Amino acid sequence: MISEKVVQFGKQQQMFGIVTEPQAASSQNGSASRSDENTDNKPTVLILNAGLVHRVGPYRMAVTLARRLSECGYRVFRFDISSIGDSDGNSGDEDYRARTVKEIGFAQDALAEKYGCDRFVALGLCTGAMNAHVIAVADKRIVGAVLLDAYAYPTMKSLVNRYLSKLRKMLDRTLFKRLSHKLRNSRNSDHEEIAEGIDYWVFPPKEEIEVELQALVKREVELLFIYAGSFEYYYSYPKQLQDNFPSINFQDRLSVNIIKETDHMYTLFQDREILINQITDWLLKKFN
Amino acid sequence: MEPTYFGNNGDSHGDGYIAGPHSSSPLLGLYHPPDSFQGVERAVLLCYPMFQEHIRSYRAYYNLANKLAAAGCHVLRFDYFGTGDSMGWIEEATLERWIADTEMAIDELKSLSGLKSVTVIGLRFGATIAALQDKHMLEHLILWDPVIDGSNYLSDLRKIQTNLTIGVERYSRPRTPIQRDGIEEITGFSLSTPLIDTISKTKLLSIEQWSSKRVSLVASEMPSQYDALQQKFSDKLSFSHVNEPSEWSSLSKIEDMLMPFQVIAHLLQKIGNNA
Repeated sequence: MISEKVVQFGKQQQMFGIVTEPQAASSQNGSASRSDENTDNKPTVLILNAGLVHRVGPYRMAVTLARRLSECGYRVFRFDISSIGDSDGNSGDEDYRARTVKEIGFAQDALAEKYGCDRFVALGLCTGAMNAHVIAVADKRIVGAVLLDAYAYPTMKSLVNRYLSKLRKMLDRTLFKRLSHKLRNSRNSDHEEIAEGIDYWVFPPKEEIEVELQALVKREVELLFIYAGSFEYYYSYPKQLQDNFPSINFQDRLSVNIIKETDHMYTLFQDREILINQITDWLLKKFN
Repeated sequence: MEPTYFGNNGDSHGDGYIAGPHSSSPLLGLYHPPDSFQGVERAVLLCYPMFQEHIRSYRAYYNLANKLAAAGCHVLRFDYFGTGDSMGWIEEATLERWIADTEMAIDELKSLSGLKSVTVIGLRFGATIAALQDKHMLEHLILWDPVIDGSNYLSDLRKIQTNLTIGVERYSRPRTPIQRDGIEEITGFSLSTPLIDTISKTKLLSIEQWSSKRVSLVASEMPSQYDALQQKFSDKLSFSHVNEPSEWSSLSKIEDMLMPFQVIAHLLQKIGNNA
């Protein structure tokens, strides 16, 4: 049985989120084996905003994920940072990173007070992934982070992949245009509009990330990076992250998956299911 | 802003817990009490649109609710069954259920505000659902970019879905949503065949009588699509066009947040003039 509750938090209770309580019984629904063990050992999962999307997540994915994880015995908190969803606007007197740390810290404080939570896994997509990284670096209560389409830096291999992919897309597009003219009388102009790729992602300096990842590994923070196939311009092969940071000995703390078919927002049901299963399996493996 | 759980004849849970889709309070509402009383008290229910349009407009409704509360209104917004933070899954939702949810939300707002009359602002299919409820006689029904023909609405959404899945930017190869019995995936949401059937049969023009003393239609784009509705209800429907297109049928906008500053200012003026 699903049990959810509103939690308003922050200094003036100006922030808003929904706790999904862990379910006591085991479930047969997921792809990994479930446990009836005491859920007290499990960290609480924090689902952060994906861009400007409020706490339900793209296509309500965060609600599905929270309820699925609760079946596996995890407490999940999906909430809005300031100026998103139902949380008030920010005061504007701090830089974005400091404010992010403070606000996610408020969420952890509220859960500590209400439920005694002292360990957390931060999970985010897009800007949410960067925020998950930032809070993991800043707050020692974070014991794991799930970063969906976070940062990536080019390597020789990824650059070769990038240009091969570009070439393939050009060919596909030409073929597609010919086919679509045969199949349909007209095409939605939107499609033309978004067909051209735009290099709009700006990642933090690689040296900065390297130092921070080094610190996370030293603190034994478990890391799961998942990249969408549509992100292949930036991230195109599983070991790219290790190649980006050869000085870091991740041991077994780093897991990297690429979901080749999916778009960045996991628009299709089947892609969301793959993602949710991968996250669930990883959590059960690392924090069961 | 105060959360309220309801969904069974206004029987709220004191502690805010919701437990299972068949519990007595599966719907989450957010109540904005008036900041101050300014003359005549008013209660306003905000009905969200559906599917991706719900996510696009979420923050706009937060802003609208805050501004209405600042102007002295009791405001309630809520998530329908199977949407947002409410219980259930969209696959289980039916149009009848959503109409009943709207009627229960009106009951809830009456109970929270202590007022007997309610104004409803509905956006897109939320406006259509509000127009279909007939349990309550509303003070004022404001239809914001309402869906007037369910089958055209589904056709627009299906066009977005098709263009989305063949897009070479979003996907490296054209995609086909996985086949599931009785389910069609439209703009990222899984809709059941009965829901699709009832939506496609929904036509605002077939309404014979409004359950509202006043009805206003606010169009942000393509005002001519509402000509027939204006003609049929020329005696009761007040029409206004605020030129701030939301581009509901555009694939490139489906993940853009709605920021309808002019429409919100217009709605505030409309509600203010009710007093």
